[in-house]
Amino acid sequence: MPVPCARCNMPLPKWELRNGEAANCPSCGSRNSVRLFPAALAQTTAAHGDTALAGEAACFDHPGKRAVSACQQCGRFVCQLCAVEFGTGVWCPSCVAASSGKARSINSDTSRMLYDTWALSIPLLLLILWPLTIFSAPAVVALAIMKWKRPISLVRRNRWRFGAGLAIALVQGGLWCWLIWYLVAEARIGPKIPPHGYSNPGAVEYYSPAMARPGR
Amino acid sequence: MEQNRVRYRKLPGRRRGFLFGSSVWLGPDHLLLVKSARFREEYKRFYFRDVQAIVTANAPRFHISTRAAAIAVLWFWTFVFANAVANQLPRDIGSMYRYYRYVDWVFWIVAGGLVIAWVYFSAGWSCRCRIYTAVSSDELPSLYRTWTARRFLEKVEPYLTQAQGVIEGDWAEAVEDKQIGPLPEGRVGLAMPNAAAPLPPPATAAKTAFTPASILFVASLCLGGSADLLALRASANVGRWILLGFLLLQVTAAVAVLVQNYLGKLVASLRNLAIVALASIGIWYYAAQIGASFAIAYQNARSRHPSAFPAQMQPLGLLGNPVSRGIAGGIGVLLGLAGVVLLLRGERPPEEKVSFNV
Repeated sequence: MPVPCARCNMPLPKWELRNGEAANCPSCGSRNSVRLFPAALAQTTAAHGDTALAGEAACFDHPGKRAVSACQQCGRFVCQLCAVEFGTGVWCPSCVAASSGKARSINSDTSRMLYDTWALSIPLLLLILWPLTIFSAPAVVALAIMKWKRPISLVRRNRWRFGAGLAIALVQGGLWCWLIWYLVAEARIGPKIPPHGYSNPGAVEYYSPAMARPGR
Repeated sequence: MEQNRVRYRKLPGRRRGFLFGSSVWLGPDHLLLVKSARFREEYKRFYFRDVQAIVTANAPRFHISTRAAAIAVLWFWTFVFANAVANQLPRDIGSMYRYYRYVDWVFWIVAGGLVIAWVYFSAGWSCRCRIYTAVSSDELPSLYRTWTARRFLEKVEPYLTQAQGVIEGDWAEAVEDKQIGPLPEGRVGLAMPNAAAPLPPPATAAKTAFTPASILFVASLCLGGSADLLALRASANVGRWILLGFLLLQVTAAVAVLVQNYLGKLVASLRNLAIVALASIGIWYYAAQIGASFAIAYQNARSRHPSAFPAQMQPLGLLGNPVSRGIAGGIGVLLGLAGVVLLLRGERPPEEKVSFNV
């Protein structure tokens, strides 16, 4: 299969590719723009490793194979099959699997949980169901404090979401504390303003039918 | 803090969806494809020396980005504001009022123009872009407009050329007997006659539909919906507390369902039901408030003597409204019935994949 169509994945015919970098797919009819690089023409051969002769250094895991390099982390000899090349160094499969020391940089992240986005979104989204903020506010404060030093996105460089989420959660928590304190105080002391009509005798007098009667 | 952090530069193109997004970044020796699902990001690296081809195909892409949605929301609020202002103007103002009569027309023409432009660019100026290495063939979702793909290639091509060089001569002829990208699933390459058979998929722990959380969740939906409908004739205060109590139970049970699914104990269908239920609760709550607010705002805008109705503006007052309670009950009953069906059905066995051996 020479070059597949980016839309339908069917191979683009050679006569279309001869026209230059643009080729029409005979299957879906879409116009493809193809940029090909030398890696496409490189021969891919499986690494086998040469047999070690007497007196030659052998691979740690394959004693019959000739060593081609030494692991940068543990120093074990590795054959062509075992050698893991990354950047300018070579590592053995054990160190890569253990991801220890210098080999840690090889095992690059493939996914990350965005705790800063959690910390910002939870207090904002739960405003929809605001009674739940009584639970979410302390949870978000704990989350922001616990995960503050955890790595955030690979491509973002600041932690403002943590700060903003923490601030909103603190405000929500403060408002809940104030509300609870207010309700408890009111329940203990009783209402500050007595029911209308008892505390203001003037009003009673004014609205009294007897007072309103003309001639009095 | 992270040691030896790689600095990435943003490349042209970004897909901004409501839930999912994507972008491509330029690293020192690789391209980084970032696929985000709001709270999680997934990364894939394409080293410059490994990239075999980048192919862009014209294809319609009707994607509503958050930016387009923001424009629509801006248009809507400007429209409401302009109408409210126009309706408040005294009729005897003369020439100025004459102009305000055309406000609606102008807004609808602008809206029509925006929609036509979106359809035109989505149908005629959109594309799919794929990047190929020897072992992968990945779509770059952030490149869905042709001009963005062109700018992306202009930026990236020098780095790839610097790492690999250029192909001399007729590459169409040379590439004829080569494999671009990985072999299709189940197909064994001609160059590897003794290639090992693919490993069977790892055994996964059995998932079930019946867990305490899922039963509680479905029961809370059914009972809550029924109770809301039965309590329609009850007083607003009683109905409100029935509604709020069951809502709290439903939300708690839905969160428990999501956690159990995340732990691999519960089937995906009930997780989807929990997501739908949470989204429905949120949408219903906001729709009830926004609907009432709009009704009042519209009434005020039309009225010569605007007056607000504070009692109706209170959110808890809206929850006691029989119409909103009835809608919530109906949604709860429907979702509860769906949950019962999912519980009884359990998880269907996965379909066997068809593979071809050439």
